[in-house]
Amino acid sequence: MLQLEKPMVDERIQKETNRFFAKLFFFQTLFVIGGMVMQIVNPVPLRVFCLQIICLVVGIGFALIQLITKGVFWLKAKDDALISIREEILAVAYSLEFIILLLGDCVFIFFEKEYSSWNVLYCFEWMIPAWIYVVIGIKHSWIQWGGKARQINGKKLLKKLWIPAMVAAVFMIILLELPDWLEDKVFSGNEIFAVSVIVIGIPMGSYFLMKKIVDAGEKRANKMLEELEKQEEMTLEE
Amino acid sequence: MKNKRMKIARIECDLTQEQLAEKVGVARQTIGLIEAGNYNPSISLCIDICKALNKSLDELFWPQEE
Repeated sequence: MLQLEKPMVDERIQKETNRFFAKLFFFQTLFVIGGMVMQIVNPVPLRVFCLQIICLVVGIGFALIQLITKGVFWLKAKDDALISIREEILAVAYSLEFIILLLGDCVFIFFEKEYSSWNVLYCFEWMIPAWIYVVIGIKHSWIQWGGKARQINGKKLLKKLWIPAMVAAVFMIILLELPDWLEDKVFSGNEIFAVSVIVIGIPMGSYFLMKKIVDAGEKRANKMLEELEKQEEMTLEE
Repeated sequence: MKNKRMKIARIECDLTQEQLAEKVGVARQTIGLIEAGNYNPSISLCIDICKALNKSLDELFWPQEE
């Protein structure tokens, strides 16, 4: 079996991802502010948009404190090292906002039944920037296995995630649907089918989606290398 | 600027780009980009590459006088 000598922590990918996340931070922040404006226009109780307030306070607060304390809030000279520190801070701020929106969205699904339609907005707020990253990440091959040996180990790791994903799906059913089913005291064939689709479908769907995304990034990375090799051959011929 | 010395050292060690990438913990593409002169690695990555190829920093990365 192929063993990895070192886990892949590629500084080039890290730098390029940070640069992109720094841009996504501003995009996601504007997106969340836009969502808040929508909720102010269509008045909703404070508890419904407190998720967005927490997201903005934590994200912007973290970015401001870090940028000021590290002295990179305003850069007079274009210094590569300072720019990369700044991008790293904004990338962490983006990740914080993303995690808060994702977790908050899950909490919102479970506990807010009255205004559940707003859940779509919260989904868009974390999902759209995340999908932009996936598309651009594949294009620039930031998302990749990093070689054949890593591909084998990566796929094994993804398969190991099936069990936690199934447990999460069962947990989701218990919290979301079980009280209603128990109230009806009827557990019909349709409901059993729905449960099996969620418990098997979610982990399976996530596995194949992840695999497909990373495979696409890997393919793109290989194509990029082939192009580099071709360029080199051409210069040698010249 | 292309890094032919690194490519030669890698071939001398009988390593493919992928094997060297695994040794130093980066993607194969990054090694390809360094060899093609399209990416400037950090000093710590340069040191890792030198260790993997049993060469000094001077031998692989110091610009040669024409």
